[in-house]
Amino acid sequence: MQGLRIDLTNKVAIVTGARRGIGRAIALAIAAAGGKVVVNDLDLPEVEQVAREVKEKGGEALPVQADISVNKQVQDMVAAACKKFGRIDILVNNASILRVAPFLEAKEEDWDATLAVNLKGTFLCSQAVARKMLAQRYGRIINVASNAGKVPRTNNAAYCASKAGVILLTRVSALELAKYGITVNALCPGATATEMLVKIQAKDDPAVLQGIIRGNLENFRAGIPLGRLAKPEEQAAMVTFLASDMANHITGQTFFVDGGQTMV
Amino acid sequence: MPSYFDLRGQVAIVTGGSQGIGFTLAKTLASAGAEIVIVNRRAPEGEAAAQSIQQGGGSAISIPADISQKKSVEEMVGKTLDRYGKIDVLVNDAGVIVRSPAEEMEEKDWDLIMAINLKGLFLCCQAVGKQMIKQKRGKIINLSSVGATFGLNNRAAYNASKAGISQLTKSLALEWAKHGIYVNAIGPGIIRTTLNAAYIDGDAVRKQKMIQKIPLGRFGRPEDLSGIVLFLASPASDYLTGQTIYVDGGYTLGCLDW
Repeated sequence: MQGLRIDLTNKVAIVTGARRGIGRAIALAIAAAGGKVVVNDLDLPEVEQVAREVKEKGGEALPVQADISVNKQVQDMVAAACKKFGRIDILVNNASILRVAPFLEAKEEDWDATLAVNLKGTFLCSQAVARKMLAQRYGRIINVASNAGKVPRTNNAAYCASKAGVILLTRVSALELAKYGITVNALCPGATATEMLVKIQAKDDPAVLQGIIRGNLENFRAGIPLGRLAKPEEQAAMVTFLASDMANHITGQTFFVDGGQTMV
Repeated sequence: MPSYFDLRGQVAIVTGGSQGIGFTLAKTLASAGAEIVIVNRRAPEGEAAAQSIQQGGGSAISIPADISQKKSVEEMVGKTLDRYGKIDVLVNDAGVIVRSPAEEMEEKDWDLIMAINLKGLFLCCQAVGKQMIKQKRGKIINLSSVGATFGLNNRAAYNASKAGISQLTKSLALEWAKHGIYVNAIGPGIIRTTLNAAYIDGDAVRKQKMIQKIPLGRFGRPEDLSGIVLFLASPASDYLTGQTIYVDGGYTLGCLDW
């Protein structure tokens, strides 16, 4: 029995896209379980704020500004993490962007930006960090995909394709990295009550409102068997479980934390 | 986060809980504070398992039942409610396996596997589900298998029963979400237990072939399932339902290398 609590004491984690929403909740949950957290995002003041929150609760955190779609910045982030904490045990690839448009009107630059961050960024971070994890013969990589990576969603062509890519990238990297004691799993959140959703609701964009929520955030709930949105903390709970030794024999799997929306 | 896995005051039924994976899961839930009801066919074995948990400081009783018989299941649930007044967690682990080439499989073996693995599991879900609907909350955890999604040699009926369990898991999750009942499945890979050790170790060549199919390079241990059963039994998984979680060292990754 590995114990009854999730214990990440002295484990070092990088969480990308951690300035708010699910990423922030993951960073805080890892810190609460005893882990040290590299808090990454594009915006420095915001990641510094999350790092401060971690420290105020007695944890250790390093804010790192980096664009994960740029290899050099990823390498620098990994180097900064190793310099500060000496190792990396956990990587949570959470950063992603969502640009909404009907398929026939989707712009090439939005496709490129979405794939660059969501898919290439996940690859770059995974590769750079896995190279550090090899020597330890231990590592936990958790990719935040989406249930939209398995089931199509209107007006989300690039996002869906990028997340489907993340799911298979999870399986390929799990297969190749298993022999080094590195497990790789994917979390597929469903609609989660984050600022991103609230923003989508607030944004006066007919395509968004019609296609995604038909004008009403409540509509997110109609297709969810559990009848409510997820809390960011519920996504974070799954991630900390997968990051812990409780999940030692789990690799290459996709976890739909979506209130039963995707039963595939 | 510690409180997530605190199951003190919760009542958990574990079918097939007297040995193998079921016994380990029963011990795990007991260690988190749950009151355990061990359900199996043979009373002395169930009693011994319950005593073993008690000796470890946990709380457990044994209620013998044949889960393939509706009346027996209803009696078991009735006795549980008489004693505890509620059921918070149901772990459906009871199952049987008969290995034989499909062309030689005997009808009675097919019927036995379906009666226990699939119908028995459904009867337990139904009887306990009625109580959980009244309570407006419950956690059901079904033991499926990698055989539900991958073919495993010489286990045609077993695989079909496990695929049925994963599909039943979705159906119940969908129907009972509105009652606050969560229904998920665990799909173990090749777990070496006291029940199959002789089979696994019996053929060195086959054993090597089996290990080669597991990317993490080792058979599972029953304890490898402890974390996920706690996760699924606890509020930590309160947004997760209808899923089959494979704990298999990467077995279900498959691989197209040639």
